[in-house]
Amino acid sequence: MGAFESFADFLAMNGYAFYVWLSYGLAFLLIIGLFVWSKWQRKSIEQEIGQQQQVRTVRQQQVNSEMKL
Amino acid sequence: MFRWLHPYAKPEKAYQLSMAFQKFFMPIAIIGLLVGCVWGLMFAPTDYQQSDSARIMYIHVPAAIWSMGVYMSMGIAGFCALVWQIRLLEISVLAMAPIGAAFTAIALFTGSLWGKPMWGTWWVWDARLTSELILLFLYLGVFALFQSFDDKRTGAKAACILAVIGMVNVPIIHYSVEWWNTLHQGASITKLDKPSIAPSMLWPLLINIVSVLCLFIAFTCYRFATELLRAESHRKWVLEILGK
Repeated sequence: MGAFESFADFLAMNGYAFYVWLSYGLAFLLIIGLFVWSKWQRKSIEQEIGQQQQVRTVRQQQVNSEMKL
Repeated sequence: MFRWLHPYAKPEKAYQLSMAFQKFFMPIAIIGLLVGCVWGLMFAPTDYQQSDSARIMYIHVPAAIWSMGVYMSMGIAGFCALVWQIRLLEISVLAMAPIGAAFTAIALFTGSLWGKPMWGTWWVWDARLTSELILLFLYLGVFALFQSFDDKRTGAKAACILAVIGMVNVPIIHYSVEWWNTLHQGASITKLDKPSIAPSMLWPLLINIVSVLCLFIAFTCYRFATELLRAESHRKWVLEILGK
């Protein structure tokens, strides 16, 4: 396996397993977090715009019906 | 050139272009990071001095390089936004700040996790580490300033001013290892003569550096598009794009 003799050696990282795997893990988590947060922001904006639009159409219908009266 | 660029100043065109960019760069970034990390973790040779702790380099160095690169592009965008009053560029500053903050945070804690076994300490208040920490606060400050005014344009202006002023910090970070005595080692790749790193280690590192750049472009375009929708939420083109 590349630079290591076995998979166990790979996991052990010559005794530096804690430092290596924690740095890779935390970096991964931060990037995933940024990704999820950006997706969530986008979704909430879309919902907000949808609600705005609903309010607008309801208001327009009200105005239209009042005009008829 | 400006005649060609001009249509993209329209928010609708800018939105479409940035979504296209995001779709193009995100897969490249993901594949590149996978290749670079697997190569760096499994196939690159073990460092003869630092043993396998040196494998932290393959994320620490790209994150640190782009923590400064993102800040420069954010500062330049902020400068142009202030001088030419371009609202789209203000939005791009807001889009970039959290990404830069994430890169800086990654550079800081991977550096800390590397420093503990190699230097024997998690943290020292020396020039390189302190100026990088200030960079993190600058990013957070720029992001916070956007939110801290009732009038959005005023907040954007304040944030752009901070982004421009903060650019002073970037050369300080880069040259801190030469100007002051520090625990941090000097530059290995960005030297004018030959890089002082073996090619077998340089390749995965370069792949990761390019991939993190692609990740930055993809994230910026996506977040820029989102902020554009928010800023233009009453416009017709937004409703048409969202199919409302």
